[in-house]
Amino acid sequence: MHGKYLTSLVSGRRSQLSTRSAVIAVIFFVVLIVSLSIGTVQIPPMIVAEIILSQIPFLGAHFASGFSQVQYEIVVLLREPQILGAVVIGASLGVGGAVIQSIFKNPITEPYVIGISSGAALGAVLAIAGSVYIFGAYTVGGMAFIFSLLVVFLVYFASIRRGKVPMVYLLLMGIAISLFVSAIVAFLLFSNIRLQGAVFFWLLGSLQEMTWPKVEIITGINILMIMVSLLYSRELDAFQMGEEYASSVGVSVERTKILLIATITLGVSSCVAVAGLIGFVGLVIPHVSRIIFGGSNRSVVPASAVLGSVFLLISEDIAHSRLFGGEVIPIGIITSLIGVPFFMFLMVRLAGGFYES
Amino acid sequence: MSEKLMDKKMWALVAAIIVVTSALISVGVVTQKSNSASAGKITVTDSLGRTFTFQHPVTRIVSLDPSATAILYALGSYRYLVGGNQFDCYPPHETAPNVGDSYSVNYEEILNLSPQVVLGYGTSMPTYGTYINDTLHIPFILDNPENFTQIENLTTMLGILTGTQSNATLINNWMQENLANVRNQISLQTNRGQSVFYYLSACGGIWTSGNDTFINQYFSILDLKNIANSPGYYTVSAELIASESPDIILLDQYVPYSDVTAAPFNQTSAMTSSPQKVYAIFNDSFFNEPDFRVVYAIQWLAEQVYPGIQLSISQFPISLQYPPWPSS
Repeated sequence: MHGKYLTSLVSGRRSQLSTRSAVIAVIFFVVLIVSLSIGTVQIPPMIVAEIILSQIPFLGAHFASGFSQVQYEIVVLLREPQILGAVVIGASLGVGGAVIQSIFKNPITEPYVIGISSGAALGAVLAIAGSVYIFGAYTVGGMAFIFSLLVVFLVYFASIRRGKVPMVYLLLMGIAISLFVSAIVAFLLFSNIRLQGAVFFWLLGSLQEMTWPKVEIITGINILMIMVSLLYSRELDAFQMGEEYASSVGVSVERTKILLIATITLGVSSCVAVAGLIGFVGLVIPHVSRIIFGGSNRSVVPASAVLGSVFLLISEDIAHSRLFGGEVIPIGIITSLIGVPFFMFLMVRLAGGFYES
Repeated sequence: MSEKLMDKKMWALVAAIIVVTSALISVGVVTQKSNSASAGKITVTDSLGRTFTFQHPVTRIVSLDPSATAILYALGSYRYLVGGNQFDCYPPHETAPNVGDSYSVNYEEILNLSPQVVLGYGTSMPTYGTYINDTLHIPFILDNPENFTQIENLTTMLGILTGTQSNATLINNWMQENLANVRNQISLQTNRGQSVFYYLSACGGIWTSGNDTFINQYFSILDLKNIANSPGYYTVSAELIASESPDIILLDQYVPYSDVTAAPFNQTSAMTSSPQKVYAIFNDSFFNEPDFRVVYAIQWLAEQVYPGIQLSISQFPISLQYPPWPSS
């Protein structure tokens, strides 16, 4: 009797999670397709579909007739890289948040807390302020990426105590060094009033200047990051129980930590380098995943990737829509504007005591 | 069992996303356009020294630079403006769609307008300029006039670009003639060499413009001594204001007079003289947009600083629906 009850309970739970997965998968693909038709310039969905089909090697010529060159360029040069960029960056920030929260055993951390954002801001400001062109068109992003890695490296090595990196040290050192680096950024901005506008917009985050080469770079790095995170999801579950517990179940704590922090830093830094600082995703999307799928990282990591992508796609659609009279709003503003109320709603209606114990 | 099933589904979902993403990327890469070089008859050079060549004068222009928009209007090339920016102020009633400003632009709208060239402003190449040039394959011409000679160069460049070079010459001659007249009249004044402080902004400090800025050139022509000696735009200490005690304070349009009624300004020569020598700029666009209309800004400032001076600006050489001089 008791066994049957448990079996039906497990079966019910499984069915519920399957339904949720299916719903999220459908939402993802619908949003992906709809996004291609949304922009400040109106292009009918059928034309967009024709343009996409016309890109298929060998078969594309059959569809290349009903659209103008301008429509083609808008879809291929602008919308497609922006949308794919949103998918990759949303996934990266979502997974980055899930991993960092598990390692730190702290629900209010995100990838930026270890110095990624402040380092990237310093690199970008130095590139803009110094009119540096060492990487050509990729100088601002390149400098942001390099400085982001440098600051995380500094934070990590400044946190080493007797061969180990205590997480509290890492967290506090991350906050302290980030504040220090932010002060340098503020000083640079204060020294040159003309920089403030350009840097301000970079800090707000934007997918507007996404190009195919940028998408290729961040896709490669972030596929690696997501795969590593998925492979280490059991270790991340163990970290959530504490480092002592993780060690007791055979996890090589220090080695795993440095591997995960390094891959998250690489992935998230590459995204910040090409899109600026997009907030909220890394902090909140893992929580949304936990509310929907439970606490295991075997579900939370992939769910954070998909939900992060969906969330950033919707944000990008809103930023790009004609709601703002043809003006494109920095996506970082939209993520917070729509994300916070949504998350509050989710916590109140769906969490069901998840955060009360 | 349930978790394992979930794992498989999640892995499958992630794998599907990766496959779709990779497929779309590969398709996109295949369809990228190459940037073909053009050879032609019109050649212009921008403030970064980059050269652009066109077969014919351009007839579709997007301007992200309010000064360039004003100059295009004066040249008679305004009909070629297919996209403007949110800071365009002259001529009034712009009908071309707004595609952004100096910081953020709408790339879809720019592509949709099919411009032959995009004009921008800045000391260095902005990231959107690189994007327009390298990704959208539309020539992005940057300008950055920091003095009157460079304004003339910009006017000439836009004249060549739009096939209105004769009008550009007329405008430049008009500027030179009137500025020479101003210099002559100033040389006759007895109270030259007064010290001046330009109060640019009160946001986060006392902002001013230093000795290598565009604004400083107004002061040079009018034989005024800027108390801000450092280069660029920066904040000065209250002690500098108190110790230098400027004879004249020039207020930006958006700095209220009440800001100079307290220390350190209230004890300065400008505030204690009778009448006070505190002048609020009547219209920012004449002072802060580097185009031919600066002649009117200098006329106004000269008349404030040297009461009784007889300065008349000659008739603008091109007949325009919206006159370039300030409306009274």
